[in-house]
Amino acid sequence: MSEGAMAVVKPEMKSYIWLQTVDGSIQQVEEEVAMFCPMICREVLQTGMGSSKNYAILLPQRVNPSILGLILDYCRFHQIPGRSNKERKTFDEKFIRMDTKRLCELTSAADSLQLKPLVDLTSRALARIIEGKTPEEIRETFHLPDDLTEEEKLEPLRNITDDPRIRLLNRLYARKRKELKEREKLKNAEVEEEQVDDRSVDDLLSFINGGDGDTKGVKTSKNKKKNRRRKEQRDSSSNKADENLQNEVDTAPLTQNNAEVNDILVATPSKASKVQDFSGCAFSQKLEFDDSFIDDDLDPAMKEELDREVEDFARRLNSGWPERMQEILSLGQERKLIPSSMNGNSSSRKCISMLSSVPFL
Amino acid sequence: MELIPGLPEDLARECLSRVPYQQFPAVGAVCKDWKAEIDSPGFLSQRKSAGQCQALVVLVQARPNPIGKYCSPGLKNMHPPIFLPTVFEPLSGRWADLPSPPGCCDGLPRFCRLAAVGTDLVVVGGLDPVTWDVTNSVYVYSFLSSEWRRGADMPGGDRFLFGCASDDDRLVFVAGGHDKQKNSLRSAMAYDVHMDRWVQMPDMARERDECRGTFRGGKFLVISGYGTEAQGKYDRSVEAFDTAKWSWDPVEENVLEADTTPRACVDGEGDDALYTCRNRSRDIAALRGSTWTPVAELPSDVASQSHVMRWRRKLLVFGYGSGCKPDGVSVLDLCSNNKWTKVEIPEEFRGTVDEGWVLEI
Repeated sequence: MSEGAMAVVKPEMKSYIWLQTVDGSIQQVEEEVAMFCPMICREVLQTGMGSSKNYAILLPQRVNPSILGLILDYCRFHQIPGRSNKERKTFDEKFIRMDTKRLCELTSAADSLQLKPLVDLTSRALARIIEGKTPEEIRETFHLPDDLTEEEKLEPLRNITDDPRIRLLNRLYARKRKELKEREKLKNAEVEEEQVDDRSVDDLLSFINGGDGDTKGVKTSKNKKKNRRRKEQRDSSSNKADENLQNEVDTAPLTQNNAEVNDILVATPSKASKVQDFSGCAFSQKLEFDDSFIDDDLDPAMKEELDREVEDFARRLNSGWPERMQEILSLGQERKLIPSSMNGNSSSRKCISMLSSVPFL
Repeated sequence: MELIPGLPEDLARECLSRVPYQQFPAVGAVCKDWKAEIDSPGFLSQRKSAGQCQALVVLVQARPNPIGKYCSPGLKNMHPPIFLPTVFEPLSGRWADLPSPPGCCDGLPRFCRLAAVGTDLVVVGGLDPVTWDVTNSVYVYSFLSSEWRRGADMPGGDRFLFGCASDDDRLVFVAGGHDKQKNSLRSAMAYDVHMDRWVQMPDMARERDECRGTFRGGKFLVISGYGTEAQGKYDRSVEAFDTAKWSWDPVEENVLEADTTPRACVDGEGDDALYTCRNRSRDIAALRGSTWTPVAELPSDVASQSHVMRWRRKLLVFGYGSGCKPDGVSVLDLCSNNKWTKVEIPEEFRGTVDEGWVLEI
């Protein structure tokens, strides 16, 4: 019995640390359990706080009483050195089974107490929750807004300026515009129309070259006025295709600047057409897509037709890839802009030939 | 808007950085903030510094081609194997198919070259699987969106069996190979993945057909190869391109042992400059200083002409057992006593490996 008496630990001998949560409530916690949290440990050692109710350690705001309870359970288990890795792992797996909101609170609280092992455990659990869920399910779980446009959801995530759909759309738009101009030209055989024709090619050049500034020249100021006028007109008509285009264009980051161009030696011009096969047309790089000055001399009916075609094409482009490919290919031989075989050079040269006078970078 | 409501930003970012790479596209489709996070260059570097990266071995492998599955009528009656991208995760031992580029119904080009920059995998050149013409095509697969896009073709004439490697930062380097007339090439160029633009490099000192490209210590190394007049006689020299100076270092002579095929060479780590798989002595040797030191004997079930790759301090040797298809990946751990372990290849993934590249994302 005397040995038994030795083994009994009198309650008064055990040390407690006093902790206060942000709501004002104070509790005492076994010393070895509380000291498992680095933040509490530091407070005790550096400031001497926590030894009595009046000098309770004030815990960070992110730690509410119920979360504190969870954290202390964790500490109480893990601070015992004798436990095996298997035991700890089993405990952890059971421990993190809680709803997502609580898991987030726990992660946040553990972080404020600098309890890294628990932060790791909870972040891993949160990552596992994200894994294997669809975007919609993720949004529901974490209460996130559904604020991406349809295009953004389908777009390749990087290099938006390299998106072949945008390039294809631009190219098609330019080509369609040219076709309509040709038709107009045939209708009116006046000299004025010739000028319009030249201007339109120049304008094509300028937006193709991404508004380098060099090719716009004198026409800029004149165009600006017309742009403003056209923009107002456009805004009021609220054409969906334009919006789509503007959205895609506006979100495209500027990837080219003149300094970089000077630093880099580029493949010789004679090889340019091959280089610029499917993807490299310079106009894709700085998408200041302002087509209003080009449309100046098209009558509204033609413009509508053009916009409708583009809208139709934009819609088709935004469907799934395999369907897209089939549709694009079925548009006909003359519109075969995406080569289906590997050796795409020949067909792409066809589509660039109309702009063959353009010196690409 | 918080990334994850209830969590401080840095913790939310950490959780996101822990998701497996297969979930990247879903994460990017949740909401604007999540998309911005995954698009940012900080995302990948956070994964790297937190040790959350996943190692992926991407391969261009022969896959069975059941009748009628692939679209080209020309191949229908022949059913030769078709070469498609697959991915092997050395840590988990998992094998999976990667999607094929749209327009590549007959598979990827044969003997194409692979390299990766960040989360973008680049496939350059090779032979058209139907016509067997040399193609200068470039396909890029983004692991962020799990989508393919076409890149700017390699400029200049046909180039085949060239050396290729990336700095895993911005550029994919290409050097040597041969042209349509089987003239060995001396020229080199680099592909800027982000800008989708090819950049000329100065010529090498020597013509190098069938050379091996690798990247080490800030330099693009071109190993061996042969000149037009010395068909099949592999040179023993190495040329290194200093990317900072944008110039070639003087040729390093007598680096390789006689009778070494460049394709059996792999860049080294730490003190070892290069590793090679030696057929005659049936071992792996390391180049330390200027001598080749045997490191480990090849396991008995590994035949001579296998594909060799390096992943961190391990060498992956795709071995052919008794049959003519690789049935296992023998992994040599260079850290722990040069021990070999074998990872079995699942039945459906036992196809000849044309080319491979290791990514850490």
